[in-house]
Amino acid sequence: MLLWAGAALAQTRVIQGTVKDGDGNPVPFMVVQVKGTTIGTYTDTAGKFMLAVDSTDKMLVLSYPGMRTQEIAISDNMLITMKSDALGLDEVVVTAIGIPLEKKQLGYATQTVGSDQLNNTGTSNTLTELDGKVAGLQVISSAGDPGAGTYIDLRGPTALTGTNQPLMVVDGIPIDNSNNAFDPQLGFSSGSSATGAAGALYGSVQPTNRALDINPNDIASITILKGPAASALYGIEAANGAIIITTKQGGKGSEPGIGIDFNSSESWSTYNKLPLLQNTYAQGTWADANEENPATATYYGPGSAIPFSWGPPISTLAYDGIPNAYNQYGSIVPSAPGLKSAVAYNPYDFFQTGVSEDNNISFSGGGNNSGFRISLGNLHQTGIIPLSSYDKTTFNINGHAALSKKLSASAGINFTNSVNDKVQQGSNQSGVMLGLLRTPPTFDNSNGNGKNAANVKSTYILPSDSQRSFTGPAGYDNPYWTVNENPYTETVNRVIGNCNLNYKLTDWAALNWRFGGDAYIQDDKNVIAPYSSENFPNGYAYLIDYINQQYNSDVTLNIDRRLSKDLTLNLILGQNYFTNSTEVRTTQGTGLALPYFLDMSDATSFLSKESEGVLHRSAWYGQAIFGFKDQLFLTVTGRDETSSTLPANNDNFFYPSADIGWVFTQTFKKISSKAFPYGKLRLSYAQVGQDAPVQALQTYYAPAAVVDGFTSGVTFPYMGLPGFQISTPTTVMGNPNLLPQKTNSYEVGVDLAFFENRISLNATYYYEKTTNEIFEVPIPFSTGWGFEEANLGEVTNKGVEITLNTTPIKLKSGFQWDLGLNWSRNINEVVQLAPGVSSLYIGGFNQYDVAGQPADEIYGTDFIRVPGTVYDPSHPMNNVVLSDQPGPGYGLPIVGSTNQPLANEQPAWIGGITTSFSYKTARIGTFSIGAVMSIREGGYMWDGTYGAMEYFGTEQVTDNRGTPFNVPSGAQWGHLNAAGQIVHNNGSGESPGTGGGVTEDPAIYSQYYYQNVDNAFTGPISSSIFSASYVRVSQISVTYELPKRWIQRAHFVRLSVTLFSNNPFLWTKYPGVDPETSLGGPANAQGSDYFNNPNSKSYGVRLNLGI
Amino acid sequence: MKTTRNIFAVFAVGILLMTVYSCSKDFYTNANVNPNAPGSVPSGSLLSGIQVSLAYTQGGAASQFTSLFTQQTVGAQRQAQAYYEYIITPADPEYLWDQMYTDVMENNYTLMNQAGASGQNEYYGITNVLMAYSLQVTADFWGSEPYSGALKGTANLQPAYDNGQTLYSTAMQLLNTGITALSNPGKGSVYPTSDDLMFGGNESEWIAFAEAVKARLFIHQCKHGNSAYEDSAIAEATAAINGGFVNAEVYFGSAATSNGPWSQFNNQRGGYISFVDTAGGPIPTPTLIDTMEALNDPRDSIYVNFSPSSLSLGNYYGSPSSPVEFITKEELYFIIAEANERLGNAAAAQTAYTSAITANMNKLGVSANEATLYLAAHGTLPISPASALHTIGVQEWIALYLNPEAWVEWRRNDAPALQPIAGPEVVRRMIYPNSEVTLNPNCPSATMFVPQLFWDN
Repeated sequence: MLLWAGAALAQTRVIQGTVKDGDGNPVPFMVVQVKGTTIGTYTDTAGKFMLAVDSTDKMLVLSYPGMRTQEIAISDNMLITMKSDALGLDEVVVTAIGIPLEKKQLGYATQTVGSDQLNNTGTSNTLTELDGKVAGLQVISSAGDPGAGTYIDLRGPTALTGTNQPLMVVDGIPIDNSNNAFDPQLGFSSGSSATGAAGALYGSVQPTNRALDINPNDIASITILKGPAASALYGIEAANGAIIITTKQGGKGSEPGIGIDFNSSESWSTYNKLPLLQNTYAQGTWADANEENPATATYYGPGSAIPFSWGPPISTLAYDGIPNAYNQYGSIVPSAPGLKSAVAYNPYDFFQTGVSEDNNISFSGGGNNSGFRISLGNLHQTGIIPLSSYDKTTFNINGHAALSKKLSASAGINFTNSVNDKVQQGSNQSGVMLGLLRTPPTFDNSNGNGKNAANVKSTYILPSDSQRSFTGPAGYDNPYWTVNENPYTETVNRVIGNCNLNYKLTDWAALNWRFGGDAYIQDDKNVIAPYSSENFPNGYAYLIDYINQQYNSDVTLNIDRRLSKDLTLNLILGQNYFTNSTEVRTTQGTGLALPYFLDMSDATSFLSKESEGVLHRSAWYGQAIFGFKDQLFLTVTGRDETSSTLPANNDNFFYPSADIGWVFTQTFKKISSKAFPYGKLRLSYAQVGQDAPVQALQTYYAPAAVVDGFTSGVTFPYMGLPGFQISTPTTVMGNPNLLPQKTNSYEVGVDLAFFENRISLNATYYYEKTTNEIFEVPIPFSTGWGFEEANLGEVTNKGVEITLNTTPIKLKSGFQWDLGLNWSRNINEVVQLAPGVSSLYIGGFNQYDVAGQPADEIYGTDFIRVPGTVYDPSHPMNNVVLSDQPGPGYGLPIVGSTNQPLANEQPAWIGGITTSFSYKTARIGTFSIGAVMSIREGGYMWDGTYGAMEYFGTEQVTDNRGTPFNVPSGAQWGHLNAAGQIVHNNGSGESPGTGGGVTEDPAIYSQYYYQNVDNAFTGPISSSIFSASYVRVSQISVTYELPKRWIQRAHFVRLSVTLFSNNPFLWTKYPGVDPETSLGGPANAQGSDYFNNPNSKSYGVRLNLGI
Repeated sequence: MKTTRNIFAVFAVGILLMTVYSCSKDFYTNANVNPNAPGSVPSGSLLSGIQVSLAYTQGGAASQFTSLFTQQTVGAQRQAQAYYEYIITPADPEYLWDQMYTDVMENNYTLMNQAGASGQNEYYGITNVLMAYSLQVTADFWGSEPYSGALKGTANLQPAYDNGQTLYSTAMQLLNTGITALSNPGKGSVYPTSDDLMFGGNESEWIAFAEAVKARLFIHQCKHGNSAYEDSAIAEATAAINGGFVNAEVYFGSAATSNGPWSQFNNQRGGYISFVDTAGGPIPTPTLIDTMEALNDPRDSIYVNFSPSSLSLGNYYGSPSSPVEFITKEELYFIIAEANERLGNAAAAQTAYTSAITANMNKLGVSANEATLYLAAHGTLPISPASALHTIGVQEWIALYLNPEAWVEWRRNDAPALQPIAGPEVVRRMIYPNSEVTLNPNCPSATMFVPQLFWDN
């Protein structure tokens, strides 16, 4: 009604125009705004726009990321040529509530990635696209599974146990980027709700980060705000920085009809890196683990309960010729004349070529004062693991209209539906890699069924109905069994919408109301069939629903006014309201009656549970930017926040910020020259407060349960009896006295341009300190509890970010070479956990925060070392004490039992190189070649896969079985006495300390060595730590855009073809899968690899068509 | 102008909607209350959880350690193999410690306080007895541990360690308090019935159990002879039996979420622990099974399945609904036998010894004929007191299959004479878990050997 009334009043002049770049190409998605107002529109794909203006309006402001902002006098039919601005000096940054600010006004670091740098290579996860492109941003893809999560880290971790992910904002509305990862195997019985895999990180499937629901093809640009400096406008969630996504908008050109954009890509993926395997020795075990020659080991076949590959050489074995369900050539026996020789199978034949098809179409156009865009996208992806897939359909519509000369409105809605067939992973007896990498070379998981094995029942089901695996009916699942009989399907339906009303009060003041929401339901269904190796031998079914809703409203008064000739003021006063509610409903059914009917209705007993959490926040905030002579900008902000998660008497808190941006080349015109046209200094201070986790003030009773590290335990109701308990090993005591935690950050930076903007350099140094950090503080269990919620932590981050963008070659003939480098180093320290608390388990197997160390330390046991020496991850065996005690361990290192910080997951530095070569002529069109390289130096992974494969005898290193043990540098004789002290045998008794260097050692690399000294189970944690440094080419693309004159006759605006590859090359010394991997997915505890699913590389082709 | 007013109305509504909403403190406070979990529960909802947790912990972590240490089983793979070879790091006892202090003792402490404050004498008595039993079990792993300052949450973040003797006398006091409360049941409106999984709320059976725990505490302190304790052990054990002692145990259920600990361990961690000779395979036979086979003991085929198709733990202890035993009647007879033997009362020792084996065989379902044959062959104690004590100890080690008490018995009587699996000595105590070592400065240093527990010296 109101809107209609506004439209009826519109008495305005309509102007239209076309925007082109310096090369005469249309510039789509350009922001065209009437100066001094918030009335504006966007150019369409042909660079055209149409806008209703008031007769008093004189100037238009045109802006676009990567382009110089221009002011143009209004005329009726405008042809505007934008100057290319490779520096992004006048780049417009779209802020939280949808208000564009010029980058030169900002006193803190931001970086924008435009659509030209996104979605060239058909990746499905927007965040993955940022890899290597932004200084200070680390992107970790958890695995190559379709739908696997991506973890991003900006300027190092600040939260000890909470999320470290930056806020994600789409068109001014904060959206949810959770990884909803309730682990059915752990979460249910341990009494925790949604913290399963995220808390314990052991198994089940790879969690997805929900930003995956955004279609990268709908994104116009992504701006990364690296520090908390902008959080007065963004609020609490931006304490870790923010990722601001602006979607493509529609506009109306002068020509009738609508613009159509279509693109289609097809790509093929394979695994990019896998652990190395030994294929010399069969399944079996040494008769005596230490003393004998590997050739005398005994063969044990499938079903023997000997899961090891410590058998005799395969070359000494043959098939007996009597086919059985385990092998069509018969059982394995010692070689004899006339028998077919046994062979080593390649378990990696399991992997297939994944195919991805991505199709997107969009229509844009509009009426006189309005514009719209509708897009439809569909992605169908199959993984490198058989039967894994991801299907996503997105539908997006947005529109904007100038309803009168004073009132304008816009709205957008995005709908996503996805279905993700996930794969069991990690430390989970059904984990695909767990079964695969333990398979002895003499066992063929595929049972001779070759490429089609996943679809043939005889591959994984024995005639007796039970499972066909190398461990017999129980133990570890055959990966073909897992993909068929342990399915996990995740279905998501999600709506994100926003509305914006803008009312112009005067030339320099406007009221704006932006509100919107994000609501989704994620339905997960997991069935583990009977005969699986999982915790419930008769199988189980899980239904898990996550219902998440969040709504946000910002009402602002925006004032943009020149106060005097030299002084401008940009003022925002606003009120924000944010609410989030999450609900998790789980149903567990156990005891499946029919072995191969994979449904909840097959269960014979049921347990259900729900958990709900609500959060409300409201805030008053303001931001004032004073501009002096267009060269010095001072910004002050403040935000007064109230949060429902804090105690009622303490739920309100205030945080300020201030920053200065000084374009000194404007002030000192003398130093400004063609060679040095631009220079700016930035200085900022910001504080942000953060509230407490939901429901952390009180301790609650929960249904009674007991669980230990080996079993799934008992859950109440128990044989029909109800039962509750107040404390379990995972219960956190509530704290009614929590205070908001605070982060203070300081930042200084410089933006410089040289040689007609052919070189630009941005450098930033920052220091950030979080105090009063709220986390689950471990307390001794003898208090009756394991954890209390408290404000005790302190974390600092300091670092440097450098971005260098250059155009080394730019020829009149149309050839151009661009080269961009970014480099960053962050030094993180957990200064304090809590008094008396030196380490805090954060997830994975061995990931801890240790006071005085960087966060996410690999923490655990080591070999006993010569006193005065320490573990060095680059020479892990140096200076070990070799046992001088008689027995099987004689001459071998001794495993210690003291936990200590060993190595850290965080890299020393990360860097990225982006380069592109383009050759552009009107006659033959445009050729361009682009590549992105990303580099990670330093940082370690705990590769439990390697350590477990040593134990099982499948890792290639165990080929050295039977050869003499290499005496490590600095090794000495000794052992531990009953009191745990290092002593050595001096011939007549024990003397303190070690005894002399070891020159000769009779020990060999034996089954004993790999099962008791060096492995992931009984060996020290330090024996499975490896450097995760790498250099990778993450993207390559070659694009040919046909010249206009060829396609004009077909009424095409644009036609291009791209050949691309993702992740084609990787150089690393890491022995496992791609070191960019994470057992727990996109959660804090990175740096753990335990039978993680491999990463992938892909090749594809993309067609882009504009009509 | 009308339009302008309307527009302002829209913004006013926008601000109002959001701010009025947020001005209400109630709205905020209530939003943060967990709607899915209660803040307090009645006593009847707490007891079952405590008993199941205690049984699961004893039959799980505690039983795994002690059966490996006493060679009732063999650690064949992974962590179990390491424990079997005495390779134990501070991470390993974490589950045992954590579950005992939280699932069992903290919840029990909460119920004890709640019942005590509201005069629910039955619950008060039961929780005192369960606390004493919990202290006995844990003190026999670690010796010193927090109790007097423990279980108080954030009110005492660094509980002091009470030494073993103090813990034993504390347990004795708790038992006396429990017996007193149970002797004056009162039968108010709140008392245990089916929520008491051990004795269904029967006070005299609880009193008998309390006396049995006392008998245990006394006999433990008799390693080098102490006639007062030996007399008391006999008196308490006899009182328990005469008071109608029923085996203190918790049965598990057949639904997957209520299966017993050994059944779950063997299903979910199959192959870690081996119970029986794997027919010429590389894994040795447990010393217990070797010993029983040498004695021609009919119970061995009840304890384990010898069938080559299922070399596993037998149904009595290995089925999903098997019980976890705390104290059984045969143990009381063994206590009486040992105490009498130590006091020089050979005849009384002999009588109790025969009763002990008979009670155990009856419980396990050994036929009368087989029991008679076995007693004929092995039912007579040797004349030498040392040999007799050893024989009682070996039989108790057999009867206390998978019960952590077997490790206590071995440490006191050195029966059977176990060969260390690695190094010169079989382990004699448990190390402290990481959480205590790192978070509680009062935690003493200890290895798997020293300091020995006060009753083991």
